[in-house]
Amino acid sequence: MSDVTLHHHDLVACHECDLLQHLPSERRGGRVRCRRCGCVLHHSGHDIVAVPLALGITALILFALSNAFPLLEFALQGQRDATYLLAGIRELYAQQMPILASVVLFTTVIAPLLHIALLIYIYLPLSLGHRPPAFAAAMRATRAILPWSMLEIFLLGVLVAAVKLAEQATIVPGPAAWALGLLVVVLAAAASQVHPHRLWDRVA
Amino acid sequence: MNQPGETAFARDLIACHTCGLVNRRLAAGIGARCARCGAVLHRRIPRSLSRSWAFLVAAIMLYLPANVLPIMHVTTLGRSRSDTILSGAEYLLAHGMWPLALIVFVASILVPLTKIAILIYLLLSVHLRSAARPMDRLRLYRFTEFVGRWSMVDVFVVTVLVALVHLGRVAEIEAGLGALFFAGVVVLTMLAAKTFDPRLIWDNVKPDGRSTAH
Amino acid sequence: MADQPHIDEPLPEALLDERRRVSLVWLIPLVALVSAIWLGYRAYEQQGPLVSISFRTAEGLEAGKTRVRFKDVDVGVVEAIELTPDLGKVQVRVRLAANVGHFLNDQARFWVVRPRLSGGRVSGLETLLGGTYIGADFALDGVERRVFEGLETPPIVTATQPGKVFTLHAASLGSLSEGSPVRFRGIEVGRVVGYALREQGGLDVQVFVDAPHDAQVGVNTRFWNVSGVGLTLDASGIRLNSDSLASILLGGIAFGTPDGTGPGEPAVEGAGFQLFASEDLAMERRFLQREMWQLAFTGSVRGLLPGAPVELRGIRIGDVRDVQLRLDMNDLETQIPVTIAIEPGRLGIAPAVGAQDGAQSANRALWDRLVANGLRAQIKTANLLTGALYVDLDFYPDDAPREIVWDEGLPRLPTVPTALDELRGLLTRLARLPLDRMGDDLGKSLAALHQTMESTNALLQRLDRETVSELSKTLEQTRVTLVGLEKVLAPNSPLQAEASRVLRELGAAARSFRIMADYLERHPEALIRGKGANGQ
Repeated sequence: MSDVTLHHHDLVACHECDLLQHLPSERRGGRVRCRRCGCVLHHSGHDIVAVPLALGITALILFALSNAFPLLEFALQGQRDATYLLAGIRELYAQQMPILASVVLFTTVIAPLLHIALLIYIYLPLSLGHRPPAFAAAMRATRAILPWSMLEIFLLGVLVAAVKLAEQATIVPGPAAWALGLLVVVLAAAASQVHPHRLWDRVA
Repeated sequence: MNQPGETAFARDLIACHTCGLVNRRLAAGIGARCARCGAVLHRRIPRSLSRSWAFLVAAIMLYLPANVLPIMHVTTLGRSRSDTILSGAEYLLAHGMWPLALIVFVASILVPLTKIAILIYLLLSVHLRSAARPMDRLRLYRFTEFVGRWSMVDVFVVTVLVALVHLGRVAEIEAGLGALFFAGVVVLTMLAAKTFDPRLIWDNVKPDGRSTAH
Repeated sequence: MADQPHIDEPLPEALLDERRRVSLVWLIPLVALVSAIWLGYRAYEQQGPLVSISFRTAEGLEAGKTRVRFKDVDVGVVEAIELTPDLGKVQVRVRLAANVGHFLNDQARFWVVRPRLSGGRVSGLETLLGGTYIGADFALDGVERRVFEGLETPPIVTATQPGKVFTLHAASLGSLSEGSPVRFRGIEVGRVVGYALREQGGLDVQVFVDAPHDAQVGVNTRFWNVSGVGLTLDASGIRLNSDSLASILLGGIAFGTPDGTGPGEPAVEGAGFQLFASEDLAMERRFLQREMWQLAFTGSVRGLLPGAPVELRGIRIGDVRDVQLRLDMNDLETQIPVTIAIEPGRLGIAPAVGAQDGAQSANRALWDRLVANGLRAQIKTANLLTGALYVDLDFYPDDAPREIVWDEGLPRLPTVPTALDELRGLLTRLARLPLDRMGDDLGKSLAALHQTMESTNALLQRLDRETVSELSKTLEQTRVTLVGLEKVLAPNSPLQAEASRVLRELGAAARSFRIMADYLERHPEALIRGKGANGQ
């Protein structure tokens, strides 16, 4: 991290009018525009915070939806039944499988929820311009929790189960199934938008 | 891959796991914290090999009951059927759902087996201080880490089925002990992979190609 | 830095746009939020009312799982099951769908569907496999409610099922029960839906007849009980009479019309009928509709019992229902109001549509005219030995004109006195005859008669005295004549001897004559030629 590189980082040439210019030294929030043509040169530091935060909040909404609504609706011989995400866990627990129930609970509910909560916990204060307390611990927890959030695998499991039953019964995906599918995408996007090193650079 | 260069280890530097800051190694080494984020620094995951072995052995012990015991009991109109991991895949195949059968077969049978095999191989190779083909071994490790989670799919299938098929006497599905053991295998192999420090693969590889001891 | 000389030149600094432009990425959570709100609102909107239903037991019910179904459509789910505070029942809270919210009125019924055998059929078998559910039945109109009493058995008829309910009056329920079939010509067309004791005695059995068969129930229709087996032993042999096996086991009702009559005007919903104990009884009584009348008699009605016939010119048209005694407190006169039931059908009077059995007559004008023509009621003796009486209606054109009393309870037909009353009237008249005077007259008459007899006697004595002597002289002379005659005829008298000789001579002559006659017969020519002229 020599002065040279820092200096280079400070320079930018407008990609529309090629005007070479300095980036403003203080650029928390807002966009950097070309002095001559006004085109957006740099999304500044805002977007590396805003995008994960937006995705995190989206994920929270989707997570709520996927737990509040039926995952699959199931009709067999005139009987209808709707399954919720938590119902399977409750059922496992009822079937004297508390350990298995906890494993599923952790991987499909607790870990994703923690992941989302940590995303918001880290990025919400950052977007408001200050460093969240216990930032390092939150970052470490995020890293640790990530592999245990298995919503995408759960989604595959739902799909396999649905296809398995589709021969005998009518299976209709409920709102939660769609929410869950979107949630998987959003969480993946959020994870890809998290750049710990750039964050550390920001907060340091 | 044996490009010339030095490891952080050789330079007495430690990269922070949390924030990535490269710290200068302090004299004591133990209990050192990152200058930026305050995380505990360690050059290699402590007791990586022994912990990894422990998880792996436990996983291997659970592997047999996981495959022999039924993962679920399906009761349809009074007739009871027990599905093991293998018979579940067979069932799908017999009913012509071969894409699903393939997924289940890969995720539930192939992946755990290869994962265990790879981990044994990696751990043994580190023990034997092998310097052979570190890059291939790293790729195996990455594969293991990436694909390991997907074995959980069978457990989730059971969970969903148990919740869904709840029609009293028409059809009732109960989770079997096999599912518990299988989840154990997946979790333990994941833990084994997590605790295994891939840098150990490279530690026996000297930048100049010579084997070294630490 | 020597290799980057231009950097030292003053370069313009890019503008910092301090306006906090909202990043487009926020559209994502916005969309998610909007759809979540929409989903939530829709769920809230679709969430129907929460009702509570009490059941005796929660057997088979499961919170969160058990469904409520109306016509096999899911309309709700059990949310919670709890005990009532007094531990007497189970309170089931059910979240119903919004689209049935309008029908939660006092007509709505809920029951638990379990496998059960009723009314000759097995129902709820599907729940063996699929688990118990709560059946619901809604009707369009009613008073809104949220708390319901669950039925222990499924209702036999749902509110929207087309058909009609009829009320049958029966003396006893027999082996009928809810769900017992109602048959028409052997086809099951309805069911018993309920029964209740009547305050007036007997009981009302409610039956439901499905459309379109309800049109077969008319004013002439008879209902009868087909429960059990009828075994008849009569001159034609043994007859086993039974309906289907199910009816034997579970009881049943059949209906039909007597031969030769159609069902008549279709019966209205809720119309009442009598439930006969058997088909024979039902068909025997051809005229179902009865009109109640009252007859006020003054004389003794000893021997007139309920059930006694009411006849018109010898044809039974009804029967006596009730005989009472009423004492008039003013003049201590007794009155005996006799209630009779007349079947106007037997008189050829068409029954009024919808008229209740046992009601007052609807045909006032007709009856008024009949009475004006002299129709009266009278008690007559049916059987001299038993003294049984009956009521006879007949026309007495000579009777003083009278009218029907319509307005005092039952209409009152005018009566004429009974035959006994007539005899008593005669005796009264007899008693009023001047018997004493008549006795005096009789005495005088007898005295006169006596005198007449005496003079007759004197006459006879004189006759005796004056004629007998003369008569004896005549007799004496006659006797002398007879003695002389006897002498002549004595056996040894000369006359006698002479006579016998003459008779002998006469016999010989007769014999000769006979020979000659024979000869002449054989030889008639001898008369002319003489004897032996042509030899023999």
